[in-house]
Amino acid sequence: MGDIILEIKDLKKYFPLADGRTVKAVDGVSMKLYKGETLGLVGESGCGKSTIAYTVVGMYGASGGEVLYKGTDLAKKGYKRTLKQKGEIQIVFQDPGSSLNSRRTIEKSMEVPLDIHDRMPKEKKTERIEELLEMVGLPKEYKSKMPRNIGGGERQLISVARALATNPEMIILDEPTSALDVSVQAKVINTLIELQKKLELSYLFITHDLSLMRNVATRVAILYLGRLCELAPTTEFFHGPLHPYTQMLLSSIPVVTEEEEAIKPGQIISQGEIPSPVNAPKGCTFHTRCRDCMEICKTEMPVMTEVEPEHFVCCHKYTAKQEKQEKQEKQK
Amino acid sequence: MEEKTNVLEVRDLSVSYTVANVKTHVLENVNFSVEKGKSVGIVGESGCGKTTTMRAILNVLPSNGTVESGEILYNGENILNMPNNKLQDYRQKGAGMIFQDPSSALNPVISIRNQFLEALKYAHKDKKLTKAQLLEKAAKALEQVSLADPDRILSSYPFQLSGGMRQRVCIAITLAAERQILLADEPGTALDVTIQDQILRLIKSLVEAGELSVIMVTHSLGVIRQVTTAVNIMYAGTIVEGGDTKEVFGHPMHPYTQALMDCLPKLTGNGIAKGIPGRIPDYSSPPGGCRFAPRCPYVTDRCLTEKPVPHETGGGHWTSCFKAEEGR
Amino acid sequence: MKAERKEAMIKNWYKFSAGGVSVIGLAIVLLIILLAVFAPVIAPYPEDAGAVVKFAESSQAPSMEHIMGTDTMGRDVFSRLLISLRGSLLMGVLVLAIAVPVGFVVGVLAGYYKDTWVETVLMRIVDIFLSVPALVLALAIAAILEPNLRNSMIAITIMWWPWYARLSFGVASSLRTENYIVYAELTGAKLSHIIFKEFLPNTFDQILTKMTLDMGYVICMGATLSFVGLGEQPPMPALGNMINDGVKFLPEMWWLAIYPAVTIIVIVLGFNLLGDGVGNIFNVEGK
Repeated sequence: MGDIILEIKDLKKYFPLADGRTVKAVDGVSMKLYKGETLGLVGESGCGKSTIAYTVVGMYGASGGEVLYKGTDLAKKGYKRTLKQKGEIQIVFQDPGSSLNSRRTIEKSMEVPLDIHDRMPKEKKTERIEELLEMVGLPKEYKSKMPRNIGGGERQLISVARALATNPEMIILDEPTSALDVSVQAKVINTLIELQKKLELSYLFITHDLSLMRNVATRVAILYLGRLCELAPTTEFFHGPLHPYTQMLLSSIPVVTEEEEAIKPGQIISQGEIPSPVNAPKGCTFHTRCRDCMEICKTEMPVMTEVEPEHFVCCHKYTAKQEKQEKQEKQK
Repeated sequence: MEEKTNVLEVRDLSVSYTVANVKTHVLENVNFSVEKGKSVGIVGESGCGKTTTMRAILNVLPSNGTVESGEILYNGENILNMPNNKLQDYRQKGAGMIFQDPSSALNPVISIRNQFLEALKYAHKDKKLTKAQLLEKAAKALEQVSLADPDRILSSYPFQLSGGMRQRVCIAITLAAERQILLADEPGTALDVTIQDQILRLIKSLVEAGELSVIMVTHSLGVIRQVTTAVNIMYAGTIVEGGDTKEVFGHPMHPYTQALMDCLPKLTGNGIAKGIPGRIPDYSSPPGGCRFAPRCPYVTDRCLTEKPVPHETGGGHWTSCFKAEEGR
Repeated sequence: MKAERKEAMIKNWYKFSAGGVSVIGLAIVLLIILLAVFAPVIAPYPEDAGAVVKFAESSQAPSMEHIMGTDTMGRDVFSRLLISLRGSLLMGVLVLAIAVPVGFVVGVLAGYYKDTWVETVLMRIVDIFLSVPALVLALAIAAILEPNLRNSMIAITIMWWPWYARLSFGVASSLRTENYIVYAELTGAKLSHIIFKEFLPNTFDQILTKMTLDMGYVICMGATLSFVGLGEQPPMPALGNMINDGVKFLPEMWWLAIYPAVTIIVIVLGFNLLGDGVGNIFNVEGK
């Protein structure tokens, strides 16, 4: 494990509604992002993964907790990010249609970060833009095209190229390929992986596609209604999921081969609806759908326990087990 | 051999659109069929013609769309040249559709009860049922789709229901109208994975119980594998491979299917292939031979000039590819 | 690159002329501009635009020497008409040259800061201006300022800019959540960048279309003001004051009022048709 680029500590983000109620979009999430790794955030509607991303990148202020980027708390009340920090934390959005100004050429769109961060003469700018296009595997001629004349996948690659313009340390990828076809997605993902190796980038990768996550993430964090359920290295996450929600989610994935079918936990069939984040259930937010629900789950929120090195679970099943283990150890 | 009754057959369908005096040949000789009580999937990426095919099946092509050739047989009759009243019958009683976004499929200002009544009124107009009888059918259908408390659902408006529930309501309407065919256009894509899983299992169980024949159109191979027994792989307006779902995915014969499967990220974690070079063809001047030839790694001269025809590779599995035919 | 540009221009012309009549509009507008620019040269009696009295030739019906007749002071109507076009066009250009940028900036700021006090304040100011009937506003301003061409232009500018604010507000408020705007903010773009480099290209189509259509209406409004004596003062000719002078003599000396009136109609029609054509290029509905 390398240096910690980003650390989120007990992050909270609440949105007040007009009628006085509050949406607890993110309710106490903690995790670390190490240099050069891809941390995957996965979850369904209302889980808070996008909210976390937008708080980290600076779109939202935090309601509580810390967002430590290279040691500095970006979420501190009244803190204004420096231009350098804005350049080092970049984001690629999901929708290729609205990521680029439809009335400006690719070149003009890519000049935006260059004009803001490095004042350079026109020739240098053009050079840099061509360099960036090459990095994402697109021909130089694309710089004079308009977004409507290029495909969705290519537009996403332009978004990536634009994000690279400021020599970022970390890029938040919010469902970067969800709107793309499989064959186009393949090109974008492979480009992202190559760039990560070449430029030592750290990725915070958000997607709902678990099969994709399996192939891009080094560690995976799964969220439910604003709380972290499980965080583990990828192989452990997929082959030995511990949290009942993780198991339910994995068992719902539509797969294409027999080998994959064998990996899925077959025993849990998804049931129930996802509650609204306005009326999150008391105690463990997942207890209303959990087949292993115990009495304590209905009233008390479980805490994050490190069950195995770097494998964290937030579930009473394991805190109970952990306590039992510790008691046994003490007795010995 | 058991007589297979096809509730729907698409034969040699070719469709073109005319835009600014330029003809785009969107569908070329599309052939597939749906057996009664079975489910069939059409899988393809964007621009492959799946939506056009769906529209043709309901005969709702836009005004600039022309059927160049072919027919679509519903229980033996060609819906492409049915008289209007028969066509209305077909759309009310024969085939129902559920869409990707259930929120826009239901009228937001009409209660669920009235949406049912509207659909059922026409579907059962010969039987002259009373309102109460129609609502009984509706309640029964809601139970079939596992929606508890049908009365509450009927008196609700769409915005009061979740995405998954709305999708179930749409399916229930098709069931209550006793339509034979359910056309599902990306039914789970707008829903969360766990909810999508529930909907797909529901559709599968309805097919297995003999309630429906299903044609499912999607870009997700995983969804097809979970729900349908047969699959057709569509590329650039042609069907390149078809057969039993598990067989086709387990042993893809067409280079496009193979490339697609390679690009698909899998749970086994072996990485994903680089993608397929090139782009879908320009439909206003489509390739003379096989439509995939310009991007195919195994292309030969024959592929560029001759159009491949379906070739059986055994067990109902067929593909339109010279490489497979020649056994290369 | 050049080939792409040429292709785009041909495509745009095709779209422009698809309606057929927009080409007529273009022709009318070009004619008006030419006549106005070269008025002193084309007009047979340019001095008649000033304080001239030629009783010998007064009140003559249209003839070979005076194709649109003469007025009670013996001045050639045609020459006066041509000279008046200059004032009209100047008014159109100057009014829009000020109203459009002001309206644009106000509207974009209000739209970008939607749901904040900025929007409330700015848009309420816009609403106030829009709620006062145009003529009343113009009369009020004229009452404060001296009636002359310059002040009538000021009055019209003041009532015109809010429409552009509304238009820009619409565009800005709907686009502010687009990812490229969010991206620009997050990367550290200044407000001026967002207004002029991101929003402006998106409002350009609608603004240009509206400007073309508005030219005719501004000129018409200018004529309204000069009709009631609030614009160009005699002896200088303006379309409105010429009509005013001629109305008393209808129907015998019809040429005094009818020619200027028809001219206004043709001007408005010309810009309308041209504006439709421009709108067709951008697929914008005329407003």
